[in-house]
Amino acid sequence: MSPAPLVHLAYHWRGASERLVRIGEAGPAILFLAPLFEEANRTRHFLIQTMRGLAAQGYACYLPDLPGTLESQTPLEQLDWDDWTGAIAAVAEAIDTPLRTVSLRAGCLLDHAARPKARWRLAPQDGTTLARELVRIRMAAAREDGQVVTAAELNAELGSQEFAVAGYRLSPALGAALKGAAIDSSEMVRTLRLEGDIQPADAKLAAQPLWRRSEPDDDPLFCQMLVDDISHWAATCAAS
Amino acid sequence: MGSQEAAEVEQTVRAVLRDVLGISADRVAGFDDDTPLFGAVPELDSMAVAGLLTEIEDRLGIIIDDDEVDGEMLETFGNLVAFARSKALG
Repeated sequence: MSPAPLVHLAYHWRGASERLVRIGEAGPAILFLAPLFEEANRTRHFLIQTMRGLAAQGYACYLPDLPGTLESQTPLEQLDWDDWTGAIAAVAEAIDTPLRTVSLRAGCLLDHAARPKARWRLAPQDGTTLARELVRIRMAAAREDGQVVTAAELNAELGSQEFAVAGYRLSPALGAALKGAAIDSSEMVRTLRLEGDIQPADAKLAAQPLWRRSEPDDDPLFCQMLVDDISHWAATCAAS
Repeated sequence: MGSQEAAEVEQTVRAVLRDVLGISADRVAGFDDDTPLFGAVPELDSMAVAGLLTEIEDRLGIIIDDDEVDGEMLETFGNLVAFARSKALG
């Protein structure tokens, strides 16, 4: 059997057309939510490979670009958090079928917006941690340039003025919301983490965090672990 | 501090360097106290430094004050391990 093709679709949101890809024609729908910012680029190939694996098991897998990220033409600096949750709601509406969500890292902060029947998460990251990391990237960049700036100054900047980091420009509203974005852990959530991560999880995987790599990397064994776990989970929660 | 705990912190720092920088386990295993890091390991750019600190926090269950992070702490493998030990083991 030849692998399912990657189909380019779009979803409409505020008059803009944003990219949505689908792999797998038929079967129960799974909406993938990528990590935010740089980690989305690093994990794209990995996510696509995981979607291919699940398509082969009979699932229709969808992956949207968030407005202002990846190939979106929408200027990120004009967006706030509600724009992102609204966009995910628009994706769910466009797919128009009961959904499960699979999110990586901080993608989990948006999964509730799709109103999924069940949620699966890998190494979820809260907004506070991600915001600290953005501040850290700026601090390290300043250190490289020989500038002196404190973490407190940069932390105050994120959320009160436009914050430029690693090629992204976050509006004050987006920065402020990100800082406070907590992981919603209500029912119907399965959480996987990597071995070595001390936070609680339903299962831990022996694999390396590809989202940390500056050069995108692939790991077919890791990918297969996800396909196995997600397909088992999806079948189980379909039966319940 | 127990020597076993100290060795565990060092192992964690090695694993984080391997995972964040995408360098081989063999290469990381060859790092000693004097191995230079920041400025010497090309993979360790500003983005990687941020990931490195956050991963060390997550895996050791510590909080790193960003204002304590300076060139000296990142200068050598030994300095980075000493910093992580001081945070994790007191």
